[in-house]
Amino acid sequence: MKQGVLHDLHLSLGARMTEFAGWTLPLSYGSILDEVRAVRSRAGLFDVSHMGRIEVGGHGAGALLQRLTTNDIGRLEIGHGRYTMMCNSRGGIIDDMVVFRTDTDRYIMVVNAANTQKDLDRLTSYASDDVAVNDLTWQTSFFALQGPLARAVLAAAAETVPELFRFGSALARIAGNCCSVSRTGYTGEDGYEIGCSNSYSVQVWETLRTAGGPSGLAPCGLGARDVLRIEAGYVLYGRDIDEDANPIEAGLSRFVRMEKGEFVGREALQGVLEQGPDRLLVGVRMEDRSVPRPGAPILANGATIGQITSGTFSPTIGRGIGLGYIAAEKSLPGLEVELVLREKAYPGRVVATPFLEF
Amino acid sequence: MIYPDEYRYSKTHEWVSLEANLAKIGITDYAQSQLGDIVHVELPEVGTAITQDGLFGSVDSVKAVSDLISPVSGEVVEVNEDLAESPELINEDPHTAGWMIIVKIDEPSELDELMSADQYEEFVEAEA
Repeated sequence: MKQGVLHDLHLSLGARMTEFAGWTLPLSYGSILDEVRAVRSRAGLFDVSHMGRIEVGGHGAGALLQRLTTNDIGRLEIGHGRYTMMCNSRGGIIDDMVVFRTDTDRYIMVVNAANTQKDLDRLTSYASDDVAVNDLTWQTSFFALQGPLARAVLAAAAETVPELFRFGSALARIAGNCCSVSRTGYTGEDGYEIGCSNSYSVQVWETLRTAGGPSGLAPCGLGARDVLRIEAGYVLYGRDIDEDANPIEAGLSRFVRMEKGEFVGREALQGVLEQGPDRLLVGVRMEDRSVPRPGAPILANGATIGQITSGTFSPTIGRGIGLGYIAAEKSLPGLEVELVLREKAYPGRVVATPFLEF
Repeated sequence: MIYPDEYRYSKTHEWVSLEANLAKIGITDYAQSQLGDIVHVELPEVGTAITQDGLFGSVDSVKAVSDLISPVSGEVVEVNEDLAESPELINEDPHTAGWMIIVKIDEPSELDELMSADQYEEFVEAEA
């Protein structure tokens, strides 16, 4: 089992650990719901060093990413990032990721932990001689600082705070150390993701935590991260999307730029767009506190129309919420459905995501 | 002592408090701490017959759903209605306000198979 540099520090903060994608990671430091509330009302700090970080550099780097991913990386400016996906030739999603352009011929991809090796292999196999692909995951740590007070916390922690738009990225100094900072996250809140060398990551984490004290910053684990991303309607690879799901049915069409030209999966996705997808990923909001669980059948008028892929309890709205695929022709907001949980039917409703207003 | 002396405990982490032939049932402090935030509880209706070691409901924590196993047999005569909208009572006060059901028991001797507070504490330490 892989451990991050901060493993012992998390234990000293009272973390309960869990296993995820081959890593031992903090599940929570106390109450998961309190951590969710901290991020929604103040700020939370997550150690997400398990996320794969891949450097793609060289003259052909941009062209490689343009060919292998669905969004338009060709128009990505230096200091900006973009959500995109790698697809196979059938249009199935190999991985979803954020790509940052840090220099003319240098990109950083932030990918799912479970897919890091698969992505590296794919990038390497498609790379021409003028592209270098490097795995930075092992040398660096990666933190997410999220919540309405994230900006204030960063301002208190950093010697220089870059002015960033959403998905902007720049370098900053925290505790005298050079860090990469981007205005991104997986919670729906304002916030930053911060990368730095392992040699001073403990210092950076502790500086952020101390600076966040007056703001009520809470260290947060994977448990809260999952609740927050479902409330925000963000898909999770391996749950809501995989190689058998395409971006169109997963509601990610706006990250597929057909007009940019050739890319792997384009032909298959063109076909899906022309015929329309068979199923669509939708939000389901329960009428009570029952919790949708992956695999739960979704019924309308007594007939099964789909299945839940992710679910949780939303402390923010006080109801169970979930994501799941339903037959595309049934996909209308407001549709009354029933979820079968432990052989009992619970009423819910198809709703637009995100579940919260941000 | 976290675990009340006068209660009896099951290996599946339920507690029983007996008054005459009425058994009040809940889950232990250890169980709630392992589950984390409890967000939903599914309990039987009044009048339901339940059996020792049989399912009587379920609890949803944020991460997972878990079975509730009855430590006694009998008929459910009361259900803690507060848990429907405030399941966090189970986290906050598992041995008192977080009680789940009251069962009119058939066989008082069933309680002899359960653990005392001391035995349960040892059992939990061994499991942890």
